[in-house]
Amino acid sequence: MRRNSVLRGLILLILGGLAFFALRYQWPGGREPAVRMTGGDADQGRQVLLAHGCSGCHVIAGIRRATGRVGPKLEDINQQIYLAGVLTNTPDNMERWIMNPQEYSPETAMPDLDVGEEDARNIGAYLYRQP
Amino acid sequence: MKDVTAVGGLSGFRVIIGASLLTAGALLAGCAGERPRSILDPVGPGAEQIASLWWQMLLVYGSIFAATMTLLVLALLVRRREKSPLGFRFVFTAGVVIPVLALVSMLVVALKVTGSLQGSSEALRLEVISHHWWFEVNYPDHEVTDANEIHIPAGRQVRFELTSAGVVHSFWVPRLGGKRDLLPEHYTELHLQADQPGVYHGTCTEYCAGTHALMGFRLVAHEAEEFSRWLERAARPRTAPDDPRLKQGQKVFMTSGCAGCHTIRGVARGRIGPDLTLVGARQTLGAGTLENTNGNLAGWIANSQEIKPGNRMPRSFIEPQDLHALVDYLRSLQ
Repeated sequence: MRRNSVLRGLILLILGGLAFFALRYQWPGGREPAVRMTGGDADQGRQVLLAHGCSGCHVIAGIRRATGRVGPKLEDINQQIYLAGVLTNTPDNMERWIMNPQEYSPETAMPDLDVGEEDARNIGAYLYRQP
Repeated sequence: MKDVTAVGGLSGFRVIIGASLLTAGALLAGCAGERPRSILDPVGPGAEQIASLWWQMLLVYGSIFAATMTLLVLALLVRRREKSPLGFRFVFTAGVVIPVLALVSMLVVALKVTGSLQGSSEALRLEVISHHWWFEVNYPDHEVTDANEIHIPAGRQVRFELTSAGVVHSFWVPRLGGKRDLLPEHYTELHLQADQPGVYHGTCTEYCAGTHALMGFRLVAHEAEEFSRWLERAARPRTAPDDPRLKQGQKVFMTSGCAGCHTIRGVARGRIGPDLTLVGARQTLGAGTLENTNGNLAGWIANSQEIKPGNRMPRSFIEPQDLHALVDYLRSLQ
């Protein structure tokens, strides 16, 4: 009898954990603030960010391969006041900076990677999303 | 009361079985996507034989395992009797005769496959030299050198002559065939054929310390005509760039120390790092570590140590504007 209730408890615990994980991390609206703020698609942003090679220079939350230490770590960029020390940290400025860093900071080592407007917005959505 | 417990226990058991089946299904579903390194997606005659051997072994050994486990479960469930239901004859057959037959026949099958992986001698010749976490690729009959990317014609056998400039590495393109070690001061041989054009992943499969896991390459199989065009293009003499920005990039390459380790045909003759004559055309950087894009190339040049720790390329401290010019110059080398 006791063994049986232990078994049931264990099953409940596992199912509960799975449900919590699904609701907390996988539910469509679970990370909505970043999406609402930027109007971009964070998951798309993740793909774009990898395709452009951002991970070569930056540490980025949620991307294991992104270990670059050439530019600043972007793990908690949503906590920062300025972008690259020259723009206030707003979604619009993030988009501008990603598309054309050298226009805002001529001496920057960040290359102009020909990122389009939509891609930049999606990257912004990913970067602002809490890990 | 006793009955209720039994029923409850059974349903708990069922839930566990069901949950594990679901999990297994979900895990196996992960195998359904693209599998660039799977031996079960063969595209060459060698890999096809290896894959079919794998399935045969799974079938034979899997059924033996299943039979053994069934007997084990039976032995646990069946009540002990005065007289053993299975006599000496069963033990001898199941314990000696069947294993000997199964193992010997599988050995014969495996040896046959191994024997048939040998190649013919009129194959195209290609030399691969492994270095500290990257592969040098030479086309000895055409004076072309590349690194971490191998171009071959599809539908034709290629003879890889393999050696190492350092420790023992191993050369493996899972979808094309078997592995072969690269040994220092000794040549080994491997014959591979790709039946269809495509890009296949290759990897070092002998642990060589540090970032062994990031020592890979791409094998690109072309249609025969496209391959000869590629070879011609790769072998043509290089001209100095006219564009002022690319000129600036070349100057940075020559003055920042890059030329001490890297070769660019007609420009520099360093012998420590990979040949960069064709770097702009490659699919990856750092031996299969990164996609070859402007962003990744800039990051790799500036600080490859965080991307692939311990590789021989030092951090560089060049001015940002020089870095941009250098990236543009290297990407133009195709």
